[in-house]
Amino acid sequence: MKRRGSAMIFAIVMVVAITASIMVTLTVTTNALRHVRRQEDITRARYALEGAMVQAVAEHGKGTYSLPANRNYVVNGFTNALTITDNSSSIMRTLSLTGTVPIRGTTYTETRVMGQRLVASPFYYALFVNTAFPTSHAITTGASGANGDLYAKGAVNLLAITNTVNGELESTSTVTTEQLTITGSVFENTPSIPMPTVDPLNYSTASGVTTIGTSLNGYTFTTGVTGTQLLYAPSDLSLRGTFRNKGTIFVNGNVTVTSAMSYFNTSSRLTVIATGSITFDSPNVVGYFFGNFCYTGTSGVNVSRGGLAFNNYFLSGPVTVINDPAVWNDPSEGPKMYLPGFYP
Amino acid sequence: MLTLTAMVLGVMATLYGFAMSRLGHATATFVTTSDAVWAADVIEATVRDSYSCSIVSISGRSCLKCILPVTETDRDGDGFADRYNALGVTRRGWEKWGNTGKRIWFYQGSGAGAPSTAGTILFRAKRTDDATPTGSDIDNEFTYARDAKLRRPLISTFTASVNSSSRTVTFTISTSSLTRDERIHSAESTNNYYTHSETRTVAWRNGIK
Repeated sequence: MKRRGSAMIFAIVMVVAITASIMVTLTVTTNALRHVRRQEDITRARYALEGAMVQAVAEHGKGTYSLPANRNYVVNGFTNALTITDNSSSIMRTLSLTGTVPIRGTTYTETRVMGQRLVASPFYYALFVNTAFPTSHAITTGASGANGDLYAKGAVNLLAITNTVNGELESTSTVTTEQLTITGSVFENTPSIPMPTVDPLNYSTASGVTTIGTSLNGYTFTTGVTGTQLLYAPSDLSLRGTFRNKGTIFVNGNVTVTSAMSYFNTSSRLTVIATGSITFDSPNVVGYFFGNFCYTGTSGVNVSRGGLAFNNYFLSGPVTVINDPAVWNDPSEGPKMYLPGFYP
Repeated sequence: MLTLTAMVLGVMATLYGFAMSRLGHATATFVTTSDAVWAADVIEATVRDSYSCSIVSISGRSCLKCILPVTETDRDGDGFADRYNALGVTRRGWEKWGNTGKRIWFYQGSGAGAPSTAGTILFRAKRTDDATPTGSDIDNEFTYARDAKLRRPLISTFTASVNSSSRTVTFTISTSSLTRDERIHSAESTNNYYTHSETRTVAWRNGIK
């Protein structure tokens, strides 16, 4: 009897041992599978939310919706719910996007700060060149690592032995330099930025416009209709002096800066728009300058606060420009200042 | 009766041996994959957040060096940042990340942790400058579990290459394990070990400082 039973006992012990081993392995592999699936889900959620956020930023750039907004996007079959707010109080021109996506019963959340996809304006740049930019004169833009972005529609070739860009250098073609100190990045083969066109009629007939003569030696602007007073010169204008408060001067012709220009205080701001050329006989100026041709003398031009945006440059001296970030910081200033591209 | 007993014992012993052998194979498959995937996940996350990546040759061995963005957040408290914020945006709205953040290195070396010494141990090192990492820069939690025991002992090789034009890193992590023991195989016959190669191509950020 004992011999008959021993085989059965051995068989039972073996079966129990095998079963235990299989159960342990099953538990381990099941947990491992669960872990792998979770990692996959986390990755899927992250990429789905990133895709949704990229789409949301693109649509905001096209003006599809205004902020703040709650929007849903389906990416690879997953529904992503996004909350989009303006993050410019923390980082200028950025959006804060918080998204959630449910995958297999678990909701994943991601928060990102992304740049607003902007239609760039010439007035965001210290130096905006609507053509190729070869020059042997020293170029200095911005100061202290900021407000010195440079753009050219064409190849940039800086031949001077000293050039400094406190910001980004963008070219729709290539960039070559003899020497360049740059705080930001160099971008080649970038998309072009359109140069706005101006219609004198939009300025001569604007509400509250003041018509001026052929010479202006400083001016104290009034508040005007938008907070910026608009002056209209029907023909060529000579310009110099100190400018107080905010004003825009539209010249249906050419402008010549005959002597130094300055601001009365830090809140003053000036824009000079010419349908023709602007000639800097005196280098020290202030304000945004927009026109067809830019001419300088051998002393060049030194814009202490403002910007230069021209179709062509004919330089005979060095160029120093520090961008006034007023329009970059608050795009609503553009139409108030009657800037091309913002007004009308 | 004795014959029957012997038959039952033989069958059960064979069955047991077969089951244990298959379990060993299954375990070897699982652990080789697990070690490789875990390490690949860490490297992928680092590359994906990097401002730029490059291959640095040290004593003839290739090391992967990643420069991370400046503004960082460590959400899980492991001493390594896992979320980054942009410094600002360009005039076109492209995010700027800065190029003065931490330098994270991945390389194989010996137990001391210096990349100049050959070895099969995969290390992660962190520096705030571009100097070559030393043993004092390594992340012990990444490599070791406790008492100098390797956290992922089955990693045999780590190779990486960089494509600067497409801003991608392609890396391969190879692992192997004996079916009878959780360690890297050497000179074993074909059926007694498993190998796994995890290859990934990961893109890094737009690299705008």
